[in-house]
Formats: sequence, C-alpha cells, structure tokens
Amino acid sequence: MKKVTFKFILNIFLFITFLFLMDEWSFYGIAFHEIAGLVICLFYILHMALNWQFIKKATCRLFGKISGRSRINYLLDVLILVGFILIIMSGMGIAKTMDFSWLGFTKENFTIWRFMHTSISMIVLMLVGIHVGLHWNWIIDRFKRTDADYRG
Amino acid sequence: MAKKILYSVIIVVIVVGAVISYKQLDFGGKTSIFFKIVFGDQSQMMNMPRKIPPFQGGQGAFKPPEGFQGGHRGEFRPGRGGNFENNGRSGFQGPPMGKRGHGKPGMGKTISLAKVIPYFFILAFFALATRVIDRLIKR
Repeated sequence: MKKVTFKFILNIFLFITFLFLMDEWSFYGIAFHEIAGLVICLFYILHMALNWQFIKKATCRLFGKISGRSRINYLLDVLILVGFILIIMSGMGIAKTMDFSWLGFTKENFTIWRFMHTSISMIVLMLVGIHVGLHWNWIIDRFKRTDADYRG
Repeated sequence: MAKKILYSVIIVVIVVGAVISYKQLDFGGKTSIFFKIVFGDQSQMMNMPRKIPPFQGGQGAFKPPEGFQGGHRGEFRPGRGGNFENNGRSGFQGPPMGKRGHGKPGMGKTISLAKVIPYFFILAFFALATRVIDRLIKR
C-alpha cells in the first residue's frame, strides 16, 4: 500500500472516529468513548508522523519565506494539537470507567474539567472543519486517484 | 448543469443543517464556556442551575408512607460488595438505560447515528465556509 493511500485511509478513520467521539453515548456507551478517545490520540500521533516532512519544513521556515496559506495551516495544526491535548487531559479528569487518580486527576475539579472537555471539543470540531476545508483539493484528488486505481 | 444543481442542493442542506444543529447543540454557549474558564468568569459557570435537583436524602424530604415498616432487603445484604451483575432473579433490576436514559457505563448500545449528524453538519459548514473563503482569496 502506498504511503499516500495509507494516509488517506487513516484520515478517514480519524474523521469518523472523531465524529463518533463527539457524543459520548453515540457509539457503545461511555466505555467506548474513553478507550477510543485514548486510541485516537495514538492515531493522531501517527497522522503527525506521516506529515512530519511538512511539520519540519514549515517549522524551519515559519519566520522566513513561507506562503500565508502554509502559515495559517501551521497555526491551525498547532491549535488542533493543543486542543487535542486539552481534550485528553480534561477527559482524564472526568473519566468514569478508568481511574487516572495516579496522574493527579481528582474529582474536586470535576465541573471545570467537564465544561472544559465539552467546550474544547466544540472548538476543535470547528478547527477540524477548517482543516478539512483547507485540504479539500487533496481530499478530492485522493478520491479521484483511488477511483482511477480501482478502474485499473 | 446537473452538477451545479447538485452542488447548490448540498450547500443549502449543509447550511440549513448547520443552523439547526447550532441551536440543537447550543454550540455558541458551549464554545464560550472555554473562554469563560480561561478569562476567569468561573463564578457564573459554577452557579449555573442544575437540571436535576440535588438529592434530598437526610434532610427530611423523603417520608415513607404511614404504616410502612420496610420490605425484604435481601438484594443488598452485607457481603454483596456492590456487585450488581445479573443475580438470576426475576423482578425489577434497575432501569435498563440508567437513571437518565443515557445507558449505564460500559453497557453495550447500538450505533446511534442520529446523535452524530448535528456534529457532522457543524463540521461540514466550517469546511464549506473555509473552501468558499479560500476560493474567493484565490480569485
């Protein structure tokens, strides 16, 4: 399997899982929500690793010669990364089926963690929408090529 | 021509769906909470009215009917250790979907796509808006 095809399948998987994670009761209850929330984190790291060349280049050129579009893309990616970290952290603070007290998460700040988790999820949903919009040509291109590959 | 009509229909569906979803999910309200937490307006958040009134036990609110002397409490005899698995007995075993109909933690439920659709519309709306702005800038 080509790297690009793998990236595309991974992205579709991330997209669908992220949507299912938006509602904690949409797919096999809270246990699934918590486990899949941690698993998606690993896949997100894989997604970043596959795009490492872009991250490396963009970071090096960030304050130099770089297009405005790439700069916006980079900023957006950083915001999504921060958002995911905060979602996972707040998720650990409100976890029901898993115990993260060994990481220092107590039930004292439950309300704040709870509100933060919901609120940041919404913001990240918006940011992922913008991310998809900015990469729309790449997505369409992948669909066309996949279609062409199937037809031989 | 057919393509243009199809695209127009898709755009209208996404926009209408996003507006309905925005209201249904209280997207604006939920998003603003983060900024309230960050910028220190936590008091308002902490004092938000609870949807479910707090349990009144121990405050004299619950009064058993007159003549009530308690029933068989075999279900909760000592040594049970809070294990609420199927004990093979018939009768009421607690609400099947939990107190609020959300399902008990870890309980298997069927896929509910209906709950995901509003989020999909919100995401699609932002993707569409970005695409439109992107094309306008390119022109």
